Parts: sequence; structure tokens; C-alpha cells
Amino acid sequence: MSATVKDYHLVVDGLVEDVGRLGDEATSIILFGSVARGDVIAGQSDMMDAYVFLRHEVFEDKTRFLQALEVLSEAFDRIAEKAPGPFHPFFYWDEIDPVPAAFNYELTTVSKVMLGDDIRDRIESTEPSRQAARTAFFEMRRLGSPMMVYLRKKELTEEDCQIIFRVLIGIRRDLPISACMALDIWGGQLEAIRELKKALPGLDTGAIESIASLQRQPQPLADPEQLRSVLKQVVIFVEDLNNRLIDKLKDEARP
Amino acid sequence: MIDEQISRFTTRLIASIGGQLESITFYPHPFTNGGLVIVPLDDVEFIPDLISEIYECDPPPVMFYCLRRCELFELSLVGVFGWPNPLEEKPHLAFWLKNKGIVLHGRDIREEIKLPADTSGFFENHMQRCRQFVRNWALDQLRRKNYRGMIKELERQTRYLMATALLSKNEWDVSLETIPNRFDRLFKNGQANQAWENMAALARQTAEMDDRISRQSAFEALWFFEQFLLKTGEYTR
Repeated sequence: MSATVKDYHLVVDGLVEDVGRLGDEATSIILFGSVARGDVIAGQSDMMDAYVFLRHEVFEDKTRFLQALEVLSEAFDRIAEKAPGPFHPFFYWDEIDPVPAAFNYELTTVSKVMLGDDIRDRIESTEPSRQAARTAFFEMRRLGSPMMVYLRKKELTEEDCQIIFRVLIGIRRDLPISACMALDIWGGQLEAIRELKKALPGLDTGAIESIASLQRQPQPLADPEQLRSVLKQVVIFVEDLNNRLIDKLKDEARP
Repeated sequence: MIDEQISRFTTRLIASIGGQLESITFYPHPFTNGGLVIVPLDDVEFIPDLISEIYECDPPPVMFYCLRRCELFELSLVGVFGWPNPLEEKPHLAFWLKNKGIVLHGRDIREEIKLPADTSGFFENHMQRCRQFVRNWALDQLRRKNYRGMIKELERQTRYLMATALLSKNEWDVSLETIPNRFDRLFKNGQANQAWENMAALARQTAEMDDRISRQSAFEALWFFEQFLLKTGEYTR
């Protein structure tokens, strides 16, 4: 049976129910990402983009921490069992700790409070975290190096196609926003392309639309050469973006 | 000392695309087998083609960076710390490249490598990434019942974290074995050290643990890891 958007919401409901067992130990659950934004692609979108904020005292008392961990661990087991698409664990977090700058905007703006207090106006990030987020684009480009093998490989296997597709989805999700952060522009995924075009006039972002169009196909992995062609288009886009960002940063560094 | 595999790979690389390269430099690293920095000539326009040719030369299992001269600053950045790459070489990379790197081909880039001007934010970022990724990685290991593996990895991640803290004291020439003593000597943080000792004791006992004990110990190891984060948090404030 194919996955539906409703399945995603049922899994979120399950997390709320499980974490609810912690009572006052959990300050809040804040959901962000595609489920919170309302742009889930059933079967393709991953979950669980959520922060479970715990009282600071939980991290100071062994018994309380181990009890909370037992509940969180069971909650993730349930997500793994029921997730209608790719899944990863949620984040558990001390309510007084700053959050990574890369997540700050989505977490405080394009998010939903699923349980407990709305602490979004208290969520902060630090300057070193912002500085690190500004370098994420370059790290992502480096981590993508092994993908270059697929540009020349004679025949792409089904497994190759799955890897390429997964990476393309990740690029569409994370790369534009990382490029924005490199430019010191802090916004959400939905505005990232528009902001990039504004900051870098003439930038061709068609590659990101090609990924979106691939995702909309009923069988996106059916044609390996189409996947390779989108990958090539994306690689050209990333290189163009990289060159423009390097130039821009050089300009910024000039006295 | 250059590994035979790296030496043979470099020979293949030079024979295949040497004309497009300005330099190849090997860097040793305290936690890995080191890596290579490959700098293409400025007139190489499309780096991805070069990278696919590098892969066709069958590189050894080490990290390699293919960066233009104007991109070498990236080697001095903090890095990303997070799964699926549980070890981030970056915090120490520039120090080891500049001070212990070996030129294998072409121009010597070591003079151009700038050491990070301020490493004080490195520890904060490393710690934040631990909160972000080690925690949720641990939840996944509990689901997979990889209790012993989780304990050992948490012990290793604590050493990496200590090593990043040591950079703020200009201590970059470390080894995995010497890190805990150096950390203890330089930071004199009794509570953090106690958390470390407890975790290290668990890691030493994993072979003797049955399933029930190993599950309980994995939970405890995560508690000790959390205590290490909590008690060293002051270095980021």
C-alpha cells in the first residue's frame, strides 16, 4: 500500500503520545521540516524533524535522565516501525541550550508546537554556530565528491539510481539554504531560491526545479539516464554557485 | 612516512592527469590515516570532471580534497561533525598539513595554509554537533540493539571532543592515546574527568557484557557522555 500524507501525521501523533508520558519532564515538542510546512511528498519526505526539549534538571539527575531516555528510545522505535518513508531520530535537547544556527529559522518560524509550552521566542543560536553554518555549503560540496563517479559510470545499477535520487533530494532540501547562509541570509527553505536569485543575479536555478519535477514523477528511478542528466545539471549548478560564492566572499574580505 | 598505497595512487594520478595539477600534498592526521590535498591548475575550469578522473585512478581509503588555490581557506574551517561521517578531520587538519604535510607533487602549498585564527568556537561547534548528532545516532543504536558498539563509539567521540578542546590551548600534536591525560592536565576539570573515567571503564568491559548488562551499560554510557558535555559546557560560555 502506498504512503499517504496522513500516515506522516499519524507518526507525529504517536511521538506526541509517547513523549507525553514524560509529563513535566518534557518542556515542548517543536516540529519543523516538510510535515510542519505542509509540503510532504508521501514516501519520499523524511521524518522526524522535531526537537523534544527537556527540562534542564533532567540532564542533572541520572535517574530522571535514564527514565526519559527509555521513553525517547521507545518513541523512536515506534517511528521506525510506522514511518511511511525515510526516517531518522528526532533531536532531544536541553531547554536552556542554544540550537544550531542552521535550524534556527525553520525551528522558530516555520514550525508547529505539538506538545507543551511555546518556547520559540526563547530559542537562540550563538555566533560561532552562525559562523559554522556559513561554511556548510562548502562542506556539502566536498561531501558530494563521490557522486562524480556516476557522471562517467557506464551503466547505472538500481542501487546507484537510489543513491543518486536520495542525494538529489538532499541537495534540493539543503543546498540552496546553505548557499543563503554562506551569504549571511537567514531564511527558510521555501524562500531560499528566491533569495539566492536576488543575491546572485543571473544564477540559473533550473537544476533545483529539475529535481522537483523528478520527485513528482510516479516512478522517478525508472530512467537511469534521466537521473544522470539531472545529476549533471545539478553539478553544473553547484559549481556555478560555488564560484559565485567564493567571489562574493573575496569581495567581502577586501578592506 | 608515506603509505605504499598512497604512493602508488599518486604515481597513477600523475601519469593520468598530472598535467592538470598544480600540486599534491599528503597530510598525516592523529585519528585517521591522513589524506591528500589535490590542487588543480587555475585553468582547469570544471572540477567535477577532474574529480571523476581521480576516482578512476582508484584512490586509497583516505579523505581527499580537490581544491583550487583560492579555495584552500576551506581547509582551515571547523567542519561539519556528524553522521554519516562520525569523525571530522577538519579541526586538526590545517595544523597537521602545515606542520607535518609532505609534498608529493608540484608546488609546496604548506606556506599558504592559514591556521585557524581563533579555535575558541571550534569546541562550541563540536559540542553542539554532538548534541545534535551523537544523541540521535545513539537513539538509533539503541533501536538496532548495537549496545557494545554504542559504548565504544561514545568513548571515542569523547576523545575527539577533548582533542578539539585542547586546540584552544594550542595543543594540536596529540594522539588518541594521549588525549585524556593531556585534557586532564590542562583543564583540571574533575567532574568531566570523572564522567570520562566512568565511560572508559564501561568501554573496557564491553567484551564481558551479556545482552542485559550491555543494554543497561549503553544507557549509562550515554548518561556519562551527557555529563561530559554538561561539565565542559563552561568552555563555551
